[in-house]
Amino acid sequence: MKTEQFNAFAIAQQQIDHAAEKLELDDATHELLRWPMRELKATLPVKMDDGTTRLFHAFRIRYNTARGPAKGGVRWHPQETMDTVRALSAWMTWKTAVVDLPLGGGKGGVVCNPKELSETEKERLARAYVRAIAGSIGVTKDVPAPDVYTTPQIMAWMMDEYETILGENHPGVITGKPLALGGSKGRQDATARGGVYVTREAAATAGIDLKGAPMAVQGFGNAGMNAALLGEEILGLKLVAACDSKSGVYNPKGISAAALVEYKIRTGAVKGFPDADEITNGEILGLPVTVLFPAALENVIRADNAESLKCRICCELANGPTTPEADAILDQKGIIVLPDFLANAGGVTVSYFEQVQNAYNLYWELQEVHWRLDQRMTQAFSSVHEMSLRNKSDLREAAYLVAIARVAEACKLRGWV
Amino acid sequence: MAQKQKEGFSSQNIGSTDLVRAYRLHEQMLKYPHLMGEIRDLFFSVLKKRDLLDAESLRGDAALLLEALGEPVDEQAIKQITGILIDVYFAHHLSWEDVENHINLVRKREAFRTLTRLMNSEGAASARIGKALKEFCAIPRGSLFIRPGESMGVRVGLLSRFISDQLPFLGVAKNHIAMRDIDELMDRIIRNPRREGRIGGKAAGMFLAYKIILPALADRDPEFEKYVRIPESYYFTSGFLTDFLDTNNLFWLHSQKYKNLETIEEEFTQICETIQRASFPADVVAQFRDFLQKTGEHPLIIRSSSLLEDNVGYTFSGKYDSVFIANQGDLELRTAEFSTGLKQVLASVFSPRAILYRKDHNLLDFDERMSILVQKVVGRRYGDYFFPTAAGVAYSQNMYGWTPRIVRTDGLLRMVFGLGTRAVERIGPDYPRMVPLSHPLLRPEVSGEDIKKYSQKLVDVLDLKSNSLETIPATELFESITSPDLYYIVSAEKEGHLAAPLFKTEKIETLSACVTFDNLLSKTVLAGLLKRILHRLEQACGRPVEVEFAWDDGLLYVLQCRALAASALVEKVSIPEEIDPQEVLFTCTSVLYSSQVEDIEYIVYVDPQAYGAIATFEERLAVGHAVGKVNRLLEGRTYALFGPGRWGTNDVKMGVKISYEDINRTRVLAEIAVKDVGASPEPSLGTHFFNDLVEANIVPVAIYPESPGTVFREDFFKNSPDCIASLDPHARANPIVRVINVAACSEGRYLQVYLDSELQKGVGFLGPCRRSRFAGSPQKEPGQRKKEPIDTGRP
Repeated sequence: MKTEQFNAFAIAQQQIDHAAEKLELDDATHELLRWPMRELKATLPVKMDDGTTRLFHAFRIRYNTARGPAKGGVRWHPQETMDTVRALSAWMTWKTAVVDLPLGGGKGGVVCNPKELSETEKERLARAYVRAIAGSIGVTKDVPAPDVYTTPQIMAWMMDEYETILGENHPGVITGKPLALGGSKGRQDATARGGVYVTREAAATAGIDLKGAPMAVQGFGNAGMNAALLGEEILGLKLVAACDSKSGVYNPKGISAAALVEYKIRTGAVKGFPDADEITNGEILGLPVTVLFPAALENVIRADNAESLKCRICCELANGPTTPEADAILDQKGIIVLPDFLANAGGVTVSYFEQVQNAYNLYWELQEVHWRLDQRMTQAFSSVHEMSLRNKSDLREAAYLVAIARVAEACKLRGWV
Repeated sequence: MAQKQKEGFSSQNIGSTDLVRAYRLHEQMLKYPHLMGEIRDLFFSVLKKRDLLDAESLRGDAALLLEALGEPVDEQAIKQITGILIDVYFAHHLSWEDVENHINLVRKREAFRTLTRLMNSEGAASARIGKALKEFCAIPRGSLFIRPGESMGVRVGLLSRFISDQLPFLGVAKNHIAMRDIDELMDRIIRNPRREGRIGGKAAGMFLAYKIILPALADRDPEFEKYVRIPESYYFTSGFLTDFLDTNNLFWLHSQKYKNLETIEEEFTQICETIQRASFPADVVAQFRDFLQKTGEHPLIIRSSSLLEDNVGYTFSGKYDSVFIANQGDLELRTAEFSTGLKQVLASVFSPRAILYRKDHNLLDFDERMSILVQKVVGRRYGDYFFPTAAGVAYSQNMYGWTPRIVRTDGLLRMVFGLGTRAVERIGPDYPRMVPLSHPLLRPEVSGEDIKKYSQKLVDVLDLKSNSLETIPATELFESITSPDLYYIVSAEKEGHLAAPLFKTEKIETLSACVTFDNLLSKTVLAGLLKRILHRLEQACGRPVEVEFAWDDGLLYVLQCRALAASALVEKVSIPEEIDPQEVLFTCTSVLYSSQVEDIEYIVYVDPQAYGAIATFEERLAVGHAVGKVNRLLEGRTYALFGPGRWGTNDVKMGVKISYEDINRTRVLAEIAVKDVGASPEPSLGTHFFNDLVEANIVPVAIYPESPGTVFREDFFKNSPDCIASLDPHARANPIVRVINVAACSEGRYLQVYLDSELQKGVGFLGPCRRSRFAGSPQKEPGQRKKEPIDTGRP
């Protein structure tokens, strides 16, 4: 099988190669982990509102199910390709493994432009997708979830279509559903909460006192806002700066996270928040803070600005905020980088909880979700930290090693390799 | 036939009931003794047409009857008996309803003759004509009408006398407005006791639209009748302005328009004050008082309705004032408030922007007279505020298509929550909801965050307590609006996802809510209704139309309708295939409408970075003034204007604040999206500003230099020498507003701009002079701003 050069999947394979070398994996295991185990490509005919029919190309990949049913989102994107979905399904495999969920990794995608689809067309597309993949998803096989441009509403349509096909109730076939249809409590802040828990663990390990210590949040969307609120509530951190895509605010004496969140929701931006100075997206990275939460986009911490970082802990809530070159610089500076697929694994963990609750048809109170998430994240950090000590590697590499070793172990125990 | 008549005449067939019918018929005819002959003639012609009677057999019957009576058979006796027989036969063969309908038809013809005579006699007062029309309309409508061909002359006469004498208007109106409609309108016209006048273009356009949508006779549409209304409207004729100026000795104001623009600008404030100080005559004030007593304490909008306004091709969009009044409390106070508002609207005839607009459209010599349209504001009271659920502008042609799926001919809405003032003006950092009517729920934003970002944040409302138009944050209103209205207006975050409420009674998280109108568009008839209304209006007017509307409490109100100059909207343009990439100055991937502007001689460039670096409000405002000056200097030249963010915004942070008169000589108005400077270009479609551009043949262009694949040769714009000194030796070069002589900087070539809306592609490049060599080069022929006459649709 050939893949295009310089694409996301090629990078994912390189990461596996690197880990395989470190773990001294045998060739067969190494090769097995380099490739998705099952790929499904479908063409979906969908009736449009104007009576015409359009064809959409769609994918669903189960990368590896040695540890359990595949888990991963469904992306709706005009530039979706098989290789992007492959790469993302590989990363999902490592992510579920690093937090030790009994799940494998998967991903799906539909090549479409949601800007060109009405709500009714979106519904027909969602249902068409499920009809095409129904045979290969299910609580024991593969469980999709929301991702780029897919919403809880779309998950609800998908679940309904699946149940209609089977003529049975199967809420666990999809996660990220609305609460009324079997969604889990605690999903909304799960990503940030998971990041906050591992930050707490990292600080404790490094002997950093977080009480009253300053934090900055780069990217004030859902994850960023919750990180500010929970950082204050759980860790006792003091928010001193936050920024969104337009600009940022800074007050070394502290900013009330709740007030800033309320302001952002009300006005759509942090700009203009009273009693704070304006600061740029670039400047926020260089502030003397204890914890920095990059929670916006990828590649914001690069070789050209990594030197300016003054934080002790950098908790990557966003996907891929640090480039590999910057990673090396941060490592040299002694900054603890909590890698994205560990730091933001809270989301998938609560998705897993949703599956569990669906299976039992018994739903947990919020405290129980929080408590179980805390347990998982704490344990995950501990494993990664231990691996980093053992391998003398940074946390990112250690996280990969933990995850890939776990998947490799499962493959071996099953007698696949 | 003769046999049949004989039978009919025989006692076997004419029974006693026929005799009773004949008697009643005769009694009815006796009410109109002077019309008896005409009525009988009509009866006879109907019987003859139905093959029930002919002259010969009638005469035979009469003779037989006279013989039976033993009376002499002479001509006079025959005539008398045939008359009686016609009545008897008519009563025998036709129903009582037919009897009444035919008698009424004769009465209509008589009233119609009177009306025709009055219409054709010189000097007949409007009041007399109005009275005659009323008499005509007092006759029951019935099912028999004067033939359209016969009534057309009088209808056109009435239309041009009371509504508008603009030929494009008459051409459409005569097919849709019936005599009774004019009578209905007359009941709402308020006339000045001394001066005659018409009701003006805006009122005429609105009334015409109303009659096209809701006709009294043919093509009635049950859905329209169920949901469409026009707001209660009253028309103060242009006589009020004339009388006001006369009685206050202000007739000198009529020549104001011939002064030069600077003087007009300087004197306008003074004129406004003079007009406000002047008073309406006591009898007119009494009229106002009576009117306000009748309308009650309901908020009113006083709208200009000048004779020229809203005629096909000239929308006068936003040139004259409209004034909201709360109209609450003491009658004397309300009368004073009404007079003040009226004077403000009247004064706007003399405003520089209105005069310049008329000058630009060669309308200066027309004796412009202002009529006033007063409408009850559509909306409901929420606390001290008054506003409708939604309002905006609907376009029959959709030039705003971000995907080829959108059907252009299905139209577009630009809709806001609250008063529609925010939809017709180009507002600052705020966004009306743009609704392509072919796919009402489609929007260019997908993520909840983007939807919130590009949603309306501020709402215009009428504050009944302070009697003022206020702009307040939408979130403040969300709290005070009761269910189910909020259900239709907003979407809110639920479990981290933005969605429209599922139930009318659902508790909505107002802090995270934003205006989307998703439920209004998907759960009500609004979008489908407007699409069909626009189709119907466009078909009737024979050109694209624009409709101002409001939606409140489940009803759609049509507030105004304009027919647009069509030329600019439908052009087909093919971008030349072989353009040397070296010569391309800019490209764009979003095109509002196809257009082609050739041989542009000058580029005026407002440097986005330099503009962004300006610290103070005053200095940013000065940039707008500088652009206005250059615009005046370039009179008669072809030029293109480039600048940051949104042109015409009222927020200097979003772009350069200018008004139409500051840019009216440019052919291309380009908005450059530069990070951190100004706002992202936003389609101004539907705003007054956009209408100005369309009418003036100014082509809007949006350039996103940072978007992949886009070309923007900043070096050319930044580094080409400033030639302002060659245009005006006294002018000082301005580092922010640069004037570039294109030919001088490009070896004699000119800027060529091609925009293709079908492919959503546009390009501006340097190319040799494209016009025929027989037409001469642009330098030799400086009158290059194509002074094409605007297509007015006049025959």
